Amino acid sequence: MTDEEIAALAKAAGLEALAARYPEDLRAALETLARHRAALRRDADPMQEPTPAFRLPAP
Amino acid sequence: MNPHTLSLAEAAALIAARRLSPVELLEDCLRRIAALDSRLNAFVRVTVEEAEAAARAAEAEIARNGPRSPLHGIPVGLKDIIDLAGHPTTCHSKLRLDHVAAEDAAVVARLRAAGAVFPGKLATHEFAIGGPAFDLPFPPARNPWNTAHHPGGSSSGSGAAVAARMLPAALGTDTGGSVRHPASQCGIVGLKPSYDLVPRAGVFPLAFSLDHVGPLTRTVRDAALMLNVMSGHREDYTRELGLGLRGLRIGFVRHFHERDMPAHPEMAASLEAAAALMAAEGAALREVTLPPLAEFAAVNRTILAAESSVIHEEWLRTRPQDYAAVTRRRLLPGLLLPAVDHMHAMRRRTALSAAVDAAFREVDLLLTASSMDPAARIEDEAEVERTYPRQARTPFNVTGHPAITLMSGLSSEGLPLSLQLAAPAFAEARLLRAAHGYERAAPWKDMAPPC
Repeated sequence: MTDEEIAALAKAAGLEALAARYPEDLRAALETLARHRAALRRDADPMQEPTPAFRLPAP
Repeated sequence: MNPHTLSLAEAAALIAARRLSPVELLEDCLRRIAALDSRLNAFVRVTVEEAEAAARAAEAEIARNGPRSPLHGIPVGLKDIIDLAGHPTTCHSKLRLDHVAAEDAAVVARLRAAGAVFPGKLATHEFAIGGPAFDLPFPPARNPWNTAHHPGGSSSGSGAAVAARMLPAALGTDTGGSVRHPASQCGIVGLKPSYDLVPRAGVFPLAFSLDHVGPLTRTVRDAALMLNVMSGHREDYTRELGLGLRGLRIGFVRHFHERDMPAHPEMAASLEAAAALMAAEGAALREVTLPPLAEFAAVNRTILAAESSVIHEEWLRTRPQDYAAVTRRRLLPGLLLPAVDHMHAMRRRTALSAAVDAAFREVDLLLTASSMDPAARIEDEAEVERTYPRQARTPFNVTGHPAITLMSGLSSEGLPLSLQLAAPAFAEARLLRAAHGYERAAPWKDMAPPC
């Protein structure tokens, strides 16, 4: 990921100040996310529900 | 007799028989703390006067009426993300140095009502995620088996204090394995109960849907006695301890430590030896296959990132310099996480929980690795980073099933090896029965660190 791409992501997340001060932390965070994303199975099955499924609060 | 060497159950029996006073027990533990803590850094605060007053009150009440519970007069340490009324809950962080808890956490209130005494707050990784770190207001706890090594985390001080015989029991919290990790590296017992069995109110959250509060003790019986009180006496978790392993069907999840994340050879050998011992004790072992460990870990870390982000967003934006560098790096992904990744993780969590539940239709318990490696050297940042995620604990944070870690041997370097057992939801009595059966048959229970 280029410095420009990282700067754009930081701006979108409202993290410009932190990115300017700790650029290596931001790069490490993005690498961590990419690692997790690579191991996360993605499935578009419309019948699958997340855990916990939404429950209507009792009146 | 050195009272600090007693297990919780042994001390409770002597207190009930009026052969040991809670004051004698506390004073001996305080002497042990004073002698060792400059090397172990297990405590961030020792609450001597308040604990002494509580021990004296316990002594007087027991003399009049007998003990309220097996925990009456027993010193219990608290990880410093758990509220103790009138004291700071620092979370081991600069960001919380000025905090003072207005009341006890719900689990502390239960322990206090049972008569427990609280001698202090214990070291943690910052906010239960950032550590070990040397850029925090308190030093990191060290491993009593060898102080050059990490004691595991994030409930580091809880693991170190119990293993070093400073305290018979402590509380920790477990979001991705943080009760069971220090148990595995310090050679003690760490229990993560079923999700929501123990209340989390008054415990600083890391990720609410993954967070669990659990006891660290030296024996399985002590863990059961702690859980009786921590769960609000939902059941008597000691009731099956005498039944042993005979007749239990145990699924051995070998692929976790053989294929998914190959374990250190000594850890792998100790797991095989433990499985053989369980079979010799009458359990029926068979191999079980679950989804790959990496998938559980990705789901755990993605959900953790999302849930922790709402708590730390403002501080990360306004006071990033007040976190340890490692904490900042571990929390930042939550502020950059696409919502779609979080939803994939939540949907996959449903499937992973179903897969584990399906396994429990075939077997009574699962046997797995806990840590893949003995404790890393604490100042070897690269080795700590390499070994930190090499574990099989996160599956049971994702699914919420109860799991326990206990010692399964000693490495050639003299560091503890460990195993993990897991059970169906709310089957803690069965889990503790099996763990006690192994503990009784194995030679590790009475091994103490050389400190």
